[in-house]
Amino acid sequence: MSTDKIVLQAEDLKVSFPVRRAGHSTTVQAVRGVDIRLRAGETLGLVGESGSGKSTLARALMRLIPSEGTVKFDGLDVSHLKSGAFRKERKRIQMVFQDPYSSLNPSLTVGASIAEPLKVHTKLSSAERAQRISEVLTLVGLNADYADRYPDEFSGGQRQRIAIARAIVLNPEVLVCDEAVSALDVSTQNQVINLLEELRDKIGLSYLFISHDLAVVRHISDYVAVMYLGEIVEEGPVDRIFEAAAHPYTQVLLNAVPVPDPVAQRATTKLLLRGDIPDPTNPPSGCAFHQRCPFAMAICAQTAPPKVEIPGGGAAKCHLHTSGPVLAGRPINSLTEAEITAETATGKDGSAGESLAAASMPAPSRVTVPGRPESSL
Amino acid sequence: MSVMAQSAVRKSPRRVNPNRFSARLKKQPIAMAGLVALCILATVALIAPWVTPYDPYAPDLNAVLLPPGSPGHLFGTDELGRDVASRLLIGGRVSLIAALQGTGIALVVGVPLGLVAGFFGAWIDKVIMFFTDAVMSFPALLLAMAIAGILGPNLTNAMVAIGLSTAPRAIRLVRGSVLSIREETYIEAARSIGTPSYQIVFRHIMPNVLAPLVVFAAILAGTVMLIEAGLSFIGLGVQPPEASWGAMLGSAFNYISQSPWLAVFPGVCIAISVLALNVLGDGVRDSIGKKVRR
Repeated sequence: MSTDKIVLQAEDLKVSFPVRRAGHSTTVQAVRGVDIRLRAGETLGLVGESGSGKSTLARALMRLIPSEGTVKFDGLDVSHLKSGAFRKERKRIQMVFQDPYSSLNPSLTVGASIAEPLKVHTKLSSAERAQRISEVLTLVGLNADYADRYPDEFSGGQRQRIAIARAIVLNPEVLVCDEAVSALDVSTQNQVINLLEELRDKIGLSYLFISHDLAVVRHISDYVAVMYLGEIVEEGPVDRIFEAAAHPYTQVLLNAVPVPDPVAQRATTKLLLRGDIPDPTNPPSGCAFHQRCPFAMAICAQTAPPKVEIPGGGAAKCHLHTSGPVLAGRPINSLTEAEITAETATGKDGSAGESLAAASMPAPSRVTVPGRPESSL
Repeated sequence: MSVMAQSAVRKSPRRVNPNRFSARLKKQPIAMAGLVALCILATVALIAPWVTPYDPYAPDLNAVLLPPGSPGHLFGTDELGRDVASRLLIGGRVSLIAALQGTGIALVVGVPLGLVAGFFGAWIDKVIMFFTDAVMSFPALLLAMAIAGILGPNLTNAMVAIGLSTAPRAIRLVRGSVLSIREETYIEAARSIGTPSYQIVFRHIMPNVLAPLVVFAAILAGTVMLIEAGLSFIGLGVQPPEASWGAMLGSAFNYISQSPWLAVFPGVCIAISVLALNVLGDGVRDSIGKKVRR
């Protein structure tokens, strides 16, 4: 399915926001040097907990917020285009938003909403537009007559289909789905995801699929990137990530997904996060994850880990693979208890002192509770 | 396929707030009374030049200060013997035109500035709001007096003055609405589509600003009418022998002990019009609600 054509690429993308706190102003580094590549026909899943910068990254790619770094649409560097010239390129990459209740203007008919991209980017006559609108409505599984109705006459799932219809009406190459199914109930989620897969096969879309729902990401993605505090800490083919995570954060995320069988649930390693995501105005030294990492070593607090290629595809930023080297590319879940104790004991100093391998001790009291995906991820 | 395309091409009648707004307005007797009163006033103002029983400017020194109910002069005559009824009709026309002018200027100046300030934000917002706050820190009537004093006393100048001094209220209202709508996801969606800013303003923002603006305009028209009456009363608005309710009130003031009715008629007319505008504005506000198209 996927070819080698790269339809969307970002290199060293950075986003920072000025914030005013107690009188003095600082900046939040919401995205800190992210590289992504999306191949034609591929789905890139982007996961991470709330506040990790997933949506900010998407908005920076869409140039809805200013950013530094390079963004290429289909090989064309668009990061230096003036806003007028960039506007013409927007038709290559379109976005579906999380909340289908606020992403459609309530005072416009469905047809008028879908017609907007056509009016902006094409010179079609109104009859040709109507023709195209009924085509895409049919394509997303809605009745073509719905064009004359208003959004408040539709359910959440139908509205999301309308939003998707608006996003694909120009035949874009890339669809950025920012939590596009998170606001829908589970049965509707399935339908919308099936629709997205159908569209990928029918019109060759590529997706940047942002979600905190790992099950959905595993189902739809070919390649997965895991974000933590504005950085991609691990990336790789979907099966490698889910079966052999190379970064402790990825492993923790995977462990937070509840297993339907209570016996199996109890048997899983209790590798859980402690504390909240750090303050992005003042990110931790070294590896941003070291304060919460069950395997933190002395070096983690001092130097940022380099990007290491992982056997099986992709890369991870973790000292466990270089320093020691303990893992050297092996997945986290292959660690033996002896190795954990040895490593964390030898590498321990004051700053990493409170982090211990959760596997070797009873679950601490402040663990986040799995079950509510948004709060536990 | 062709059947489907045809059904989509067929233009359906555009439904605007089906039976919600008008139905709700009709349920409010006070607002409807205001609407009816305004319609009557507007009709009278339109046809006034052709229905006045006397020339409203022709003095008749044989019939000075006749009381109401005098033969031939239903509402009596003023100090120059001019027919009060005729002058009320013509004066109403002037007052309504003045209210429209003043409100119109306030909206023409205020709405674009409010849209720009709210939508673009940043330094342009700061500049606009600085001047808005500066103007708002003066009482509107005093500012209008000052501007009318500078431009010279006549009705149009007075209305320019009133329009400019009430424009800051329109700016604030529009800016506030824009600020809340600007955060809606559909604005972000429009930007991601590549819709140019001016189209975002006209397609997505203006329709949502319109509802509070209509209410505001009705109430502002009442206020403008009052300020016009005030300016004319002190001689900065309509100039004699031109009639407006405010000017009539002003000249009647000199004869208040001999002929109090001279002040009563224009006063009642002003009160009714302003009241009608205000209750209509309130009724419209209550009828729009947030439920419309949500």
